[in-house]
Amino acid sequence: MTIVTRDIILPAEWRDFWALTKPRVMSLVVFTALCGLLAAPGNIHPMIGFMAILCIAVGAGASGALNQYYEADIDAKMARTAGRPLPGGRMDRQSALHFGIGLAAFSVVIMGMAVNWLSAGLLAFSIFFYAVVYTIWLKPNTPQNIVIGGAAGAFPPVIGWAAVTGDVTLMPIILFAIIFLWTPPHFWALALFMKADYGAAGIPMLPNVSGQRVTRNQIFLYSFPMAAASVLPYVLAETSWLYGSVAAVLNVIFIALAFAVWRNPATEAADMKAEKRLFAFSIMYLFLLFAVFAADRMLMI
Amino acid sequence: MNSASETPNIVKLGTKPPVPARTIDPHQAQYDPDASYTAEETLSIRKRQASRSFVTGALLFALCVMFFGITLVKVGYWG
Repeated sequence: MTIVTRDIILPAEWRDFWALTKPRVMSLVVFTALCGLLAAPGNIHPMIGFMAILCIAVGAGASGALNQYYEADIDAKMARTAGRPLPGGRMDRQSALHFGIGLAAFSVVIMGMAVNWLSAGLLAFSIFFYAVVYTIWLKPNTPQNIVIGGAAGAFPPVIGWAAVTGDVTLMPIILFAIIFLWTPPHFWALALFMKADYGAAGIPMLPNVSGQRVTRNQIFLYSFPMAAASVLPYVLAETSWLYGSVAAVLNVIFIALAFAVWRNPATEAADMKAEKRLFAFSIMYLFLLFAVFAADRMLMI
Repeated sequence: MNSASETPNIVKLGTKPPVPARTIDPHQAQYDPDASYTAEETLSIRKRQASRSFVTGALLFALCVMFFGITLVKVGYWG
């Protein structure tokens, strides 16, 4: 455990609480949830829709806070996360725990009362899945952590959809599958060039456990089912040619970048330009895919 | 009620206890409002508390407005 000697302890700033919610992760969660909500058939009052998105955002913030509460020791060992409020010594753990539990309870209860209890139940399960199943159980124990844990990040569009329709049909399950299958290549690309960091923290990411060659193979292999899932809405005639063509182009680029990663023999992070390109593009891939999906569905409806 | 055998806390007015040297584990540390702080530290603490109070107040106000809006929608008055 890291011992830091400081003269005083100041109360945490509001910015520290904000950082605890992982705002950048939250932005992707909010975006995919909004796309699920906009693409769903049926009408929702803008005020209720706004409340649903707010609750999903707060729920994601709760997951982030509980994750940082539990992983404070691990975060302190990684350069990428050492500046967070807890390892940085700007906040005590108890405040983070109370903040996380408070946000989780608030988001689920308000979602249930203002929107519907199915979306509230899904939100509660996704918070539990991320904070307990992924953070406590999967992440420190198995190199498949982000494969199964990817489910936590795949829930938001399903919750957004359920907020409008009150049920979960095939379409939101396909949206779930797209994010679920997108998560491994996205995170393994990061894990390749952050291998030393993860190793120092003792997290059994795939490159640290099975090696870089196996990870590159897996990234390339996972990009195919991900691409197949992403064109399903068009194949099932749930979207027009607009989404179909954009999805096809994005998939070709994604697979080409994954192929470049597969061919790259680099072992040092400095030489992993292909991995960094894939990681950066994978974020844009998901944003574009969901934006066009929502726009296409709205035009069709 | 205090028993007669209990020793009362003795506080010397007009004296400030020295700030003890502390080794802090950031994962366990907590802000101690009863600890001794210099004027500069106290000012910094007050600033942080004021900004937190302002943000909390703004959030509570926004929530009140939103709950009011939701109530209007739920009772069918708005849309």
